[in-house]
Formats: sequence, C-alpha cells, structure tokens
Amino acid sequence: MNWGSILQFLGTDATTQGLIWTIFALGVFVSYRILDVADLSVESIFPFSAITSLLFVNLGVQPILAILIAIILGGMIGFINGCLHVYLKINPLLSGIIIMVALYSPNVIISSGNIVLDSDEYTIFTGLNTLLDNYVLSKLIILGIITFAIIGFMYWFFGTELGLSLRAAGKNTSMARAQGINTDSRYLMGMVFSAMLISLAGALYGQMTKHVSADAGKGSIVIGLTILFIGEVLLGHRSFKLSLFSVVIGGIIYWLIIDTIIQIPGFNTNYLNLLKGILITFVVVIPEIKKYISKKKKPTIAGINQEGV
Amino acid sequence: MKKLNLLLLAGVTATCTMGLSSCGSDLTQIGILQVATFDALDSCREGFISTLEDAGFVDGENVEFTFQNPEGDSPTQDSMAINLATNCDMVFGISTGSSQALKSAVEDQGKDTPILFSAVTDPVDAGLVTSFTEHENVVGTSDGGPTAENIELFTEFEGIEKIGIIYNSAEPNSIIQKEEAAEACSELGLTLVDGGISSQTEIDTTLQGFVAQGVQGVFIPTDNTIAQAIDGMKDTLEENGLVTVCADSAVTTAGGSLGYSVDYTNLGETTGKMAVKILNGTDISTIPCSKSESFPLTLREDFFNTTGIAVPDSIQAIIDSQEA
Repeated sequence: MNWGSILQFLGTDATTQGLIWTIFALGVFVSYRILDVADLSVESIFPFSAITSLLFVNLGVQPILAILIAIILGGMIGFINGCLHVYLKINPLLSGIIIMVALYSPNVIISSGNIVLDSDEYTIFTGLNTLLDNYVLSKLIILGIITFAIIGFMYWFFGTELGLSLRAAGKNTSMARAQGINTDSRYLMGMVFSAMLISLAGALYGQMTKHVSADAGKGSIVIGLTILFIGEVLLGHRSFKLSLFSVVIGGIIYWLIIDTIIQIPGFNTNYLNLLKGILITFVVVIPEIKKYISKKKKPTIAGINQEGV
Repeated sequence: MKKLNLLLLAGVTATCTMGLSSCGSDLTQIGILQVATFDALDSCREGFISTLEDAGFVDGENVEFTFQNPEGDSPTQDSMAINLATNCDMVFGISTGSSQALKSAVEDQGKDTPILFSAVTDPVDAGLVTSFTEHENVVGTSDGGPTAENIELFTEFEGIEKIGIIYNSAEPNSIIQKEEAAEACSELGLTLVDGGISSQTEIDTTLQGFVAQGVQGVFIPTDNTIAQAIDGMKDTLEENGLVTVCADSAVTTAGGSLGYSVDYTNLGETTGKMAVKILNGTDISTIPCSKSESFPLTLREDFFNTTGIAVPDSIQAIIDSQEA
C-alpha cells in the first residue's frame, strides 16, 4: 500500500468534511439509534446553527463563544421539538417535520438568504492556522480533538445511571417506565442532546466554509443516516463503544466516496448521485461478500473455520 | 473475521486513494463550478468556454477544463470547490454560492489562484469583491438585471394593478431583485404580493394563492429554483391568463410571457475575455468587474395566442425595432 498517497488523502477535504459530518451523525445516532426516532428537524437545525455562529462572529463575538451560543440555541429548539411530542402528543416524526418547516423562515430571515463571514473576522480555525500555517492540518487537529472529546463524553455519559436510563427509555419505553424511569424527561433530554450535537456540527461547518445559505441542510438527514449505516456495516454494533467509533469510520468513508467520485478526471457530475448510490450499495454489501468468502473457506468440521473464530 | 474486515476496509481506502493520485498534467487546468443544471447557467458556461477557444485556449491542447456540478447540494459543492482549488490554475464559479465556495477554498489553502465569477447579482454584498474595481484575485461579471424596466412592462397592459413575485427565499440573487421590484412597484403604484418559496413543491400552492388574491401578473426574477421548474408552471400561468414577466430569456421562452433579460451567453463571453487576459499575463487586480449592458426583450407569442391577450403596440414596437 502506498503510504504517501494515504498521507496525501488524510490531508484532503474528505477527512475534514468527514469529521464534521461524524459529529452530525452522532447527533442522528442519539435520536435514531438510542431514542428510536427519525428526527427530521436536523435539516433545519444544521443550517440554523451554521448561520447563527457566523452571525455572532460577524457581530464581534469570539468564535468559540459563537459556537457555544449556537449550541445552546440549537438545544432549545431540540427542547421545543421534544415538548411537541411529550406534551402535545404529536407523533415524533411529525414534530421533527414541523420544526424543519418552521425553522426555515428564521433561517431565511436572519441570513437574508445567504450569510458570509466578514473579511476581517476570525473563525475557530484561524488561531491554530497562524501557528501552523497549514489550514487543512489545523482543521484536522481541531475537528479531531472535538470529535474524540465528544465520543469520550458520550461513552462516559451513556455508561452512567442517567445515560443508561436514557438508553433503556429508548429501547423499551414500557419496560423502562415499569422500572420507575421517567421516560418523558429522558426523551426530552435525548432530543436536546441530539440537537446540540447537530448544532455543534452546523456551527463548525459554518465557520469552516465561511458562507452558508439557508438551504444548506437540504438532504443532510440522508447523509447522516448513510454514515450510520456504512459505519455499522463495516464495524458492526457489537458494543456501544464500537458503535460510536463506527460513526467516525462511516463519516470518513462517505466523504471519501464523494471525493473520489468528483476527482475522476472528465467525470460528468450529472451522474454524481447515481454513482453515489452504486458505491454506497457496494460498501453496504461488503458483509455479504465477506460471508460468501468465509463460507468458501469453511473447513470440513462444521462450525469452526480456519481462523478459529 | 477481523482480519478480513480490516483487509476490506484497507481495500476500499486504497481504491479511493488511487483515484486521488490520478490527477495532474502539464496543461493549464481551469476548473468550473456550476451550482446546478439549467439553461441560463449552461449558456453562461458555454459562452465562457467558446471565448477561450476562440482566443486559442482549446480544451485538451493547451488547457484542460474540469467541470463540476453539485446539483444544488451545499456540502458537496464545498468538497468540489476544495478539489478544484487544489488541482487547478484558474477557477470559475457560476452563481453566488459556487463563487463563494471557491473563494473560501482558495483562501484556506493559502493560494492566490485567479477566481472568476459570473451569474452573481451583487458581488460586493456576497463578499467576493470590495467594489467593482477594488479586488485581489477575484474578478467577474454580475447578472444584475433590469428589474425596474421589467416591472414597468406590467403598466403597458391594461388593468394590471396587482402582481405577484415568485422566487426561492434562500437565494441571495432573488432577494436583491425582490427588493428592487418592491421599490419599482411602489413608484408605479402597483401592489406586490410576496411569493417566497423554499422548494419546488411549493410553487403550485403559491401560484394558486396568487390567483385567489386576484393577482393579474407574475414577475419571475433570475432565480435558479424557478428556472428549473418553469415548464411545470406554464399551464397554470396560461389558464389563469397571468402575464408573466421573466428576467431570464430562457425562462420566458419556456413558459413566461415576456421580459427584458440578461443575456447569459454574453455574460459568459465577457467573463471568458477576462480569463483570456489573465492567461495572457495581465494582472488580475487591474481588470474591473462588469455588468451586463444590453438587455434584449424576449416575447413568447404562444402565450398571447393561447390566452387571447393582445400584445400592446408599444411592446410590439420594441420587438420590431429589435428585429430590424
């Protein structure tokens, strides 16, 4: 294997975009895998936080503080989304759609369609960049640290009593309630946590690209779910820790696929979505290919293969 | 099993990285990023490429064009912009978002690759240039259209007092034109109904809403979303006899009624001339940005034949003089 080309790849956009979308997919993981809710509000929360983080930076707020404000605002929207289900008894899928549709208007109003970072303002990546003089590397370092800090936090949090009760409430609501867990409060907590992760991804995305349009979140839920599935297929979900790491792998592989397609010389990008579909199918059927290969390798004694696994 | 897993993972990575290293050649690389496919932007791109060819920069001989189109998907557009900024000696963004993405990508890599833009209504507001003459490595053409003149066309028809404007409220170009239209309407004493939409699916409802509110005419600015959907709007517009003024000739011929429009082929050609100058060694910061100057009037006769609305004499006179 050519290590030079791998290093070259690691310095490209696939990894930086991959890490941002990993954080996004971790948010989807919380709502979709832990709470078992397909939350569509992410499509609007993502651009919302990207826009607010840029807006506050333009107002002269420190970039890190701007991200924190975006996360808090995003968490509040997640709370409203949760309340729609818990108190107004709206189906979670519909409550997500309501937020997605409703939040579009504030997005358009505060961004007036499209927001750009003022040329004399800084982003969270600028500081390290002046130090390292390599924008890609500084993005990688900052995003890498944030991603792994989040994974560490999630691993710890979902291992605490509170976190475990949250997982239980999502897995089997009636059983959890029978155990004396307040499932409504756990649902709200999960939705807020998920929305905060989405907001973090959005705020970082905004500061990375330095321009965001109000419809930047179009199709983001599809990206998030695809990342989850790619990761799960490649690493499996035998343990909670592995599930978290599989999201990182999924995020990077997904953007690697996109990056590879768009770098094919002379490629007609009208075929982009078709090729995306084919490549994702290919990645997702890998386990089936694996099964087929290991079946062929099976020794005469049934049940034990050569690797002894 | 675990080994196999890793092997497959490595396989995928290796195949992908092979794709990455296959780029690179001696020819001057020109990257084009176009936000989505539709007539106006396509003709802009074609005008750009043909001008370069006329000046002796032919694809495959001394230059190589890389054309990318994310079909409106923002994150993919950013990836494409970074890819083009990495591999190309000159980049060309068609639409505001594409040009911004390219500018941000080039800046991030600490390069000073020349960036050209076109189909941007307000490059100053979009943060691309400080002013039409003050800029660093960014230059291009604006497609600011004759909005006031277009709104005035409604006054040529008898009985039009209330008009609707339909546009995608997330497109900066359209928002600028909506504001211009609102100003023109208040000067001419017309009532403007705001029909901002967020996706193509809302177009039909918005048009029905216009009819319910007694709107007699519709104004369509140079809007990427509407331009993609105009074929589907044609029947509703004709059935209700709504005089539709479009700021894009391709939209007018596909389903509108009439309109002064920006000539996108011409806009692409003007941008192409700038590219030729840069390739011949002119300092990019000395080239001023420019705006489209001639706005031909387009008229779709089918609309007037189907609805039975008569073409006002004053408009017919302009068409005749244009043909002559």
